[in-house]
Order: sequence, then C-alpha cells, then structure tokens
Amino acid sequence: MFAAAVLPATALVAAAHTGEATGLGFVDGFLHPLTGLDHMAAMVAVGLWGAFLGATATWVLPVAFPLVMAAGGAAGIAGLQLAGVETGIAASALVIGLCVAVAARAPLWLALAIVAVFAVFHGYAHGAEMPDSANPVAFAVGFVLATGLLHLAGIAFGLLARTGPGLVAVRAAGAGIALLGAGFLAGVL
Amino acid sequence: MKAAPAALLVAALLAPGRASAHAVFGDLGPFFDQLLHPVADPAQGLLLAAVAVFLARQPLASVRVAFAAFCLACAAAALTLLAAGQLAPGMRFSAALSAGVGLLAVSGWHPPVAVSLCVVVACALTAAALPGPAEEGAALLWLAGSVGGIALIVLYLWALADWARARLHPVAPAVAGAWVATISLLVLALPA
Repeated sequence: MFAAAVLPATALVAAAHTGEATGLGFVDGFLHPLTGLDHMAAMVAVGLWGAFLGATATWVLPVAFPLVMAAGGAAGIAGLQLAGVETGIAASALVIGLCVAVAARAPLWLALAIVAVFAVFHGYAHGAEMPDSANPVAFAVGFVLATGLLHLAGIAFGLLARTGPGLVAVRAAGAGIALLGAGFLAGVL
Repeated sequence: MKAAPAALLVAALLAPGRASAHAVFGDLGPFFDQLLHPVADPAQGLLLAAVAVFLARQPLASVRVAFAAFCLACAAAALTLLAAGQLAPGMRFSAALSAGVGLLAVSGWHPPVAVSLCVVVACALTAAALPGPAEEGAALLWLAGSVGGIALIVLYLWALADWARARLHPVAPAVAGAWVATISLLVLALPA
C-alpha cells in the first residue's frame, strides 16, 4: 500500500523512465474500479460475503477472485467477445448483495463458483481498457490493487457481523448493494 | 587549540568553493535513478513484490540465507550488466517469473532451502538485469543505487507482508501473492 502511495509521487524522480506514463497508467487503473459504482459495489459485496461466511471464506474469496479475474482480463486484452459484460457486472452486485442481505451461508465451493463467474466479467471490463492505457502494466497494478483494497474494505465492514447490531448493519449494506445492482440492471442508475 | 576551528572558519569563508560536502560524489542522479527504479518500472517492482511475499510465507530460518543469496545475486547480475552492457531479460520473462513466484506464495508451500535459494536467485538475476546500462562514468553510483534499491524495496515489502501476517491474518501474504500473480498473468496476456 505504501508503494502504491509513493509510486505516483516519485514517478518523476527516476529519470531512466520519464515516470509520467507509469504514474498516469497507475492512477487510471486504480481509479477504474473506484469510478464505476457497479464495480465498487460488487467488490465490497465480495468482501462482505466472505467475512459473513466465516474465517476460511474471508480470505479464500479475495485470493480466488483476482486470479479468476485475470482470466477475464486476458480475454478483454485479447479483444475476445464476451456477451453481457455490463449485465454481468450489474448482476454481480445484485446476486452477491442479496446473498449478504438474506444471510445466505452457502458452502464454500458454491460461494467460490458464484464469485468466480462474476470475476470473469469484472476482469474483462478492466482488461479491455488495459492496452489503451499510458502504461498497461501500471494500469494492471492500479486496478488489481484497488480491487483488492475494496475487498479488504468489505471484509473489515463484514467483521461487524460478529455482533448483533453489526449483523443488521452488514445485512442492510448487502440489501443496499443489491438495490444498486437492481438499479443498474433496470437502467435506472 | 581554539585557534584551529577559527582558522578553518576563516579559510571556508575565504574559499567557499572548497566546502564541497554535498558535491563529494558529484552528480548523484544515477544513484537515485537506480534506487527508485523499482518504483518507476512496474515490471521490476512486480518481480520484487513477488520475492517479498514469497519470503514472507517461508520459515524465518530459510529466508535469512535466501535474502543474503538474493542480495549477492543482485550484485553479481549488476556487475555483469556493467561489464556486458544491455542484458534486458524482457517484460514477458519477468512477468512469467513473477506469476510463478506469486503462485508459490499463494500455495503456502515451504520448499527445501535449495529450491528457495534457486527461486530468489533467479528473481535477483532478472530484477538486476532489467534496468538499462549505466551512464558513462557513473558505474559505481549506478551499481550502488541498483543493488541498494532492489534490496531495500524487497526488505520493505517483505516487512509489510510480515506485518500484515502478524497483525491482520496469517494468510495476508497469500492474498498479496494472489494480487502479484494476477497482475503478472495480465501482463503476460498483453500483446507482444
């Protein structure tokens, strides 16, 4: 995280690379999940659901999600056609948000399968932007880091589910994310 | 005895050009260029992050030797680069290595010490060869900055991963390894 914070500030110091493209690419990538409310909501929901499912899922989901996202990203980079990307992203917020809202305690394998399917869509959307970035490698660093930090934010909030009021708050957050997903799917948002 | 400092002060005032404490080594640009190269070159930074999370997942007894070997291998590769000129291993090779090491970190496998040494030495040789050749007349500064920057970045990221393992969750370095592997796999997917 420190390296991520330092990178844009020091990009100009190392004259071997101008640094400008690296810094711009990193910032573009980092902001990509954050400027898409659908992306952001779904990533936080993954962290929420993982924390809700218990100790193993809390960390298995944030490990598995980026790796599967790489597959979707590769498809986006290669310019392969993937139908319904935006629909899939919106649906991820709806489905995972609902899972949190109704306190669905799915088996780990099922949770992984659901998250993996949606990870492909998210990865595709990010990967499709990569080749056009000022620095594609820095772009990848940025959006993977932002995705991971959103998961961690979801996990941190999801840990409140250990308490009674916290559980209500977490489920309410899940419901809110599900509503956002429904809004995206309906085209209202 | 008090006359000596006064004499020095007078001499400094009369000959300010002699006060060259900040110019002893000349232009330090090549040193800082290389010191911060891992931060400005995502490919090199990624490889070093992979090494750091790998080390964070290994027992301390094996990584003490591994880090020493890593630094020595860096120095050797940097010296070879100075002597031989451009040796750039290529972004795809370094990305493939980063992906492999990142996945090793995710797996949590504790390989024998010899295997750990091979892994870190391979990473060191690649990372040290990624920067371009040194400028004319700045070889020593280039070498110091290159090896120092690589070692410091790995040490710092390793400490960060270890802190996360101790304070957040034991599997935190594995999560970081997943991120490193993901970025590396995406880089591999970029068109040549």
